[in-house]
Amino acid sequence: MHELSIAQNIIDIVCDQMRIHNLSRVESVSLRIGLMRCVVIESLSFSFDVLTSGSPLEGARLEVEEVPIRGRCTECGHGFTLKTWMDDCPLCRGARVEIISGKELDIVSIEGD
Amino acid sequence: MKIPVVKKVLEANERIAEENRRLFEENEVFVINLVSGPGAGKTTLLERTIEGLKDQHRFGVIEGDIQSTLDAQRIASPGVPVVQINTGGACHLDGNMIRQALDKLDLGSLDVLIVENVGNLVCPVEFDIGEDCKVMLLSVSEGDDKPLKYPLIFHESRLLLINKMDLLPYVDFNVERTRKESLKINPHLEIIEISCKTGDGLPFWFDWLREKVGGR
Repeated sequence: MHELSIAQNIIDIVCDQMRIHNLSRVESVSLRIGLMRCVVIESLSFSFDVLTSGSPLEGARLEVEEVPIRGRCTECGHGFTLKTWMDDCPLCRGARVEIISGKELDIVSIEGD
Repeated sequence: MKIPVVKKVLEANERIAEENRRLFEENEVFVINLVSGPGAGKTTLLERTIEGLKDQHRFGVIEGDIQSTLDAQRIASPGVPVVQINTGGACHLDGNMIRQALDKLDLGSLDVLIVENVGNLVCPVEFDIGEDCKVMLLSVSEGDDKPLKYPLIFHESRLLLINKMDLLPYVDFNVERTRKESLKINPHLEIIEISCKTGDGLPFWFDWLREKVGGR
């Protein structure tokens, strides 16, 4: 249930931005979430809806772009998308892979007026 | 109107965690965020560790539980300050909870602070508390499929302690599989096999901790 805490953090940031940019209504919030974060998007949206109900954010939508897990082979340096955690480097078959993306948990933009 | 923001969702927590980290560094305290599923043996590990090393290092403990002070009562012994945090439902500790607990600890009189997180393999990983490193405890009775099911905690931990090795004859746990899959997720992970019940392997864990505290 880390989704509830994550939703609360999103709301805090969006409320700050509403004040800064003088928004009275928010239509959507765009997020980038890496697959390593194991965030269940449905739970996140549900938590967000519950927490924003009756607030100026009520009705705002979360738009999530999921970021795949990418790794780099420590042998040959080749970068590739991991389909499973046990994937070896498709170029040199190297087994040691460093993760380079998939941990994102960012707000990208807010749409409102 | 579309407003570009580009902010980390957990930045508020990360800011507080950085403040905690600065405090720990100033006071030269080595801080471990001890994570595992429920029942892996975190509190027993703490008991054994304090028992084994209390003559060499000054320990402090923060206990994180949803409810109860049972763990703090188990750890309480002369000369070891313990602070219990009850999250009241939250499934993890965060930077701010630790920040508040620090008001009740004299960091200047500690060498090692071990934070026993809430038993959970998912949420505690998301929330930095300002620790030097995460140590993960996995018991053989939980099953050897955990690396592939909960990869992030293996990826973020510095050390994996495989506990309850004395139960190995009675459970279907393939140590080699766990080692292989954990290292695949995190090539830098160190792994030590222990049994808090029999004491097997604990000297290796003590050496590891001694070396890290010495390097502080």
